[in-house]
Amino acid sequence: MIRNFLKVAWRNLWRNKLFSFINIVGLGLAIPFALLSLMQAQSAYEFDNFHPYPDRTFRIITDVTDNVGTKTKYALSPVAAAEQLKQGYPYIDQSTFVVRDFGWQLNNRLKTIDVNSIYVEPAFFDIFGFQLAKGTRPVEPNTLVLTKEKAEVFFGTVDPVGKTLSHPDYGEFTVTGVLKPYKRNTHLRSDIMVSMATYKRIAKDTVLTSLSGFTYVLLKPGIQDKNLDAALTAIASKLNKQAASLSLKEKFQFRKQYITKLAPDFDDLRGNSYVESLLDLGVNFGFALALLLLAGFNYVNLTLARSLSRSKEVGVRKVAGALRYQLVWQFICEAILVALLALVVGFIMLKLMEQFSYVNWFTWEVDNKIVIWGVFIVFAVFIGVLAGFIPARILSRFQPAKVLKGTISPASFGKMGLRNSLVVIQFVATSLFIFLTATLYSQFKYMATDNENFNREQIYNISLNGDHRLLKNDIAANRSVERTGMVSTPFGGSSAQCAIKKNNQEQNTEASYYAADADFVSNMNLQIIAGKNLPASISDSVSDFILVNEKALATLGLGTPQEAIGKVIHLNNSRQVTIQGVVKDFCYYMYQFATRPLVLQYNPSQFHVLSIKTKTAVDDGVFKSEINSIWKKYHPHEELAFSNYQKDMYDRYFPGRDMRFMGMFCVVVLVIAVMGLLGIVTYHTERRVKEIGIRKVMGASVPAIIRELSRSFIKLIIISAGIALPLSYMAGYVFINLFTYNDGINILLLCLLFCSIFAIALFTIIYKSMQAAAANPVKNLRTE
Amino acid sequence: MLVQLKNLFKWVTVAGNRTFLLKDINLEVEEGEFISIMGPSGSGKSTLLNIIGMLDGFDEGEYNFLHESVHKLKEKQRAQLYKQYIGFVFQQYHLIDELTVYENIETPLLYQDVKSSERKAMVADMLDRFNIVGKKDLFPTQLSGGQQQLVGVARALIAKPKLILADEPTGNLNSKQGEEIMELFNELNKEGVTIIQVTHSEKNAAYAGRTIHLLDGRVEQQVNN
Repeated sequence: MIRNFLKVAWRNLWRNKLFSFINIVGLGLAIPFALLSLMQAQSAYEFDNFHPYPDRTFRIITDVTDNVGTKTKYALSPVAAAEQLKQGYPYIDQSTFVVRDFGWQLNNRLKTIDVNSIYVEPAFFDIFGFQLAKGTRPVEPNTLVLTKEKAEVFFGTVDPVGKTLSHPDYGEFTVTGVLKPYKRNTHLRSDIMVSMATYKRIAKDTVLTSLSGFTYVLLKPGIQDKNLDAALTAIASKLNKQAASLSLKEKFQFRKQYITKLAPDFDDLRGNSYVESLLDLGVNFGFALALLLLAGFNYVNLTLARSLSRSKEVGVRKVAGALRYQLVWQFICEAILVALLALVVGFIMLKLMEQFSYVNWFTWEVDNKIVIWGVFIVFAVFIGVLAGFIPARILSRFQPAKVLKGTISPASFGKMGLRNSLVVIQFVATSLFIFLTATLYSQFKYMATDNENFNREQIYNISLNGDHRLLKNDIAANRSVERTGMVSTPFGGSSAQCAIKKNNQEQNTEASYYAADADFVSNMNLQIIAGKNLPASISDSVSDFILVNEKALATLGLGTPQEAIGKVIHLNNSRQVTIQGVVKDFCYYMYQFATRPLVLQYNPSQFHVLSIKTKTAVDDGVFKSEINSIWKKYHPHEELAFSNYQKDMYDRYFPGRDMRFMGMFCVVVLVIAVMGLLGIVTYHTERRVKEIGIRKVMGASVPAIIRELSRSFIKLIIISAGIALPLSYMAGYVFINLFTYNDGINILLLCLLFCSIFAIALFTIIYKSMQAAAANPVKNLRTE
Repeated sequence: MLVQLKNLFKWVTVAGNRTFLLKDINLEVEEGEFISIMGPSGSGKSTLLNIIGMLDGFDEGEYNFLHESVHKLKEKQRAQLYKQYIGFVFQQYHLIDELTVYENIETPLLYQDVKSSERKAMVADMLDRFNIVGKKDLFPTQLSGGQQQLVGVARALIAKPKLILADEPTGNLNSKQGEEIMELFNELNKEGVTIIQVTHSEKNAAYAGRTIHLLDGRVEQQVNN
């Protein structure tokens, strides 16, 4: 029987190729997102499975009970616990403490990159499966190791070992090694691993019980883990006593977790970064499921809309003795077949997405392929049953006597109003989503290619080292070079800070500080609204003349730019400097935030970057080799650090992969919405086939019938547009104003997008109506 | 007695008015009979046939089929009854377009849980008997009307029913094809299959042993040929 079902299902799919295609692709488009979620869920169970001693490595977690008895569970533990585990327990092989620190920015002179970091002790590398590709472990203060990926970002092909990176607050760091690529699914994921000695140097809190990091224990082989439990109890009571003596109100309790069983997080621990809790997984899946539901709903609608073509079969089968449940099964089998084919399409889509829009906040690979395929197939069958159930119930309800007489109209479910409003909602949501994505895109594009705030075009930066005057002169003499400027660090990253005040009586104000020369200011096309540029100088000493921005004037209360010229302010409590010029406020770092006070000063000791402006656009490779040959004259043993400023800024501000992913999502949402419309239009035209036939016999022309048929849908589309346009504008407005420096809403783009979305919808309607209108009336009016 | 209808009424209510489709029908059919039902359009022929075939219900009266009271049965039991004892032949053939000749004939057996090997033998017999072995892998659209109706009859017969109900079986066929189908019915009847057919044609009606004339939902007269 099943074979017969599948045969009929297959032949049906084959006969209605267009419809099958729409159904399969429609479901298939929605599936990859669900597959991603499923992989996410599976990979949560494959977390941290690459460490060398999975059966005897533990993380120690803390339950904190406060003075009113509320218990809070943390993934973190106090450093004191780790310290005590290190001594006095003979069955403990190793114990180590790890501190996570988000939001680091490191600068290699030319560019600033956001990195995630953890502080680790040397023993860390014995316990966990992180291996060094080259170099040594970070031990000394201000040393770190990089991931391979970040090493490439900072240093390209140059060997990073021994090189330095600077942190705006913690100073210079020496790279001691590079990690081998490691599996992403670890709660210890980070871009850099910094020596614990650094942390000890900079850490401010010395409270005994503060939950500052993660404690790990490696037991000696063959030791039963209940020994560890005993140790933990002992340490907790000791710590609680100490805490009580310091009159702290919290009580601690420690628990162990096998390193391989951290994820998924059933306890919903605090401070458990990168470990997905059940809620995370649920939300993730809910999103994918919503999309899938929409696609499934369209499948139901389309199948029902075409139910007439199946009604005869139902009638005949019933007459041949089929019971209703057998027919229900048949239709569900068909839906399952469609879903399995959609799974194939979906998997291909997934692979394409991985190729073209890899975003690293998703897991794209799992370890156990057999399990994931099992999960995929079960999932597809589930989707098939879900999508097939409603049409199956409805189709199998047909009365054979009526069907075989031919007095029946296509089936449907839900009220007309419900389905119309679903179409409207789908279109409004689609428009909104597409417009927001487009706005996001144009804002990122603006940030990535902006030249209004400061100039990036035809600018090349090279990192300086030692005495650079001769080098600078040589480069300036190159035929393509227009001007060379000096700066401490280029705009677009975090800057040094300085303190300014109007006079000795006032409090200091923080300001961004750039050491720069006059040529750099010209290179950046900064707009000087009062006074003059910095004085041209090649002297070795710091100049007493500075440039400030309008914001600095406002903060210090120095009046209008014109009034401020020539006024003297205090810089870093030590020096009195004269305002030589005022530049218009511009965004030199984060587009989200209002600009801060800015000071530009000629300060040769802090010049680290040479900013080269070329006369015309030049070829990167050729220009680099020219500059490199000059560089080699002065620094024969050192690699040239050279970058195209425009490209650097583009990479910094444009999340290309994320945008491509969003773009794909937009297409999927649009396709699903159009399919929904197609379903409902098909239903209507099939229902009105006879009416159309009669109208044609009465002499109606094809265009007149198309008008008649499409009228009500065009109304739906206009209603959708009426809701979507203002809503999208509002949403776009709110979004764009998260950025202090923005490009504004592109009204033209808004209109263009809507026109194209609705053109697609209109095309769908007209196409379907035309098909119905062009049909031969004689065929439709024949009763048999 | 195979079929017994007693004081059977069927009506529809339109705008509060009852329109009778069948009025006070009394009919008895013995096993092995061949009966024609005739009458003008709208006289209730097809309705009567559908009721006998249990595809349609009625509003008043009694229907006994093989001493079972059909009006007292649940739908599932009715389906059980008709799939075992009744075969249908339609004017429009009503073959399933997605299935081959072979599969179309096989369909009723699928729903009666006949074993695969047995099914094969039964279908092969039927193909052989109707001389359509060569066409078993063709789809209905590849056949002429006469051939399609032949398949329709074969499908109706496959489950070895006691009763064949035919609703204008020759209505869509030319006279030669029609004659062949009627000859076939005649033969089947001789083998003991009970046949009830609805027809417009006097000539076809004459194949039957008894003709029932309907008019406006009533039995106008019964004629033994």
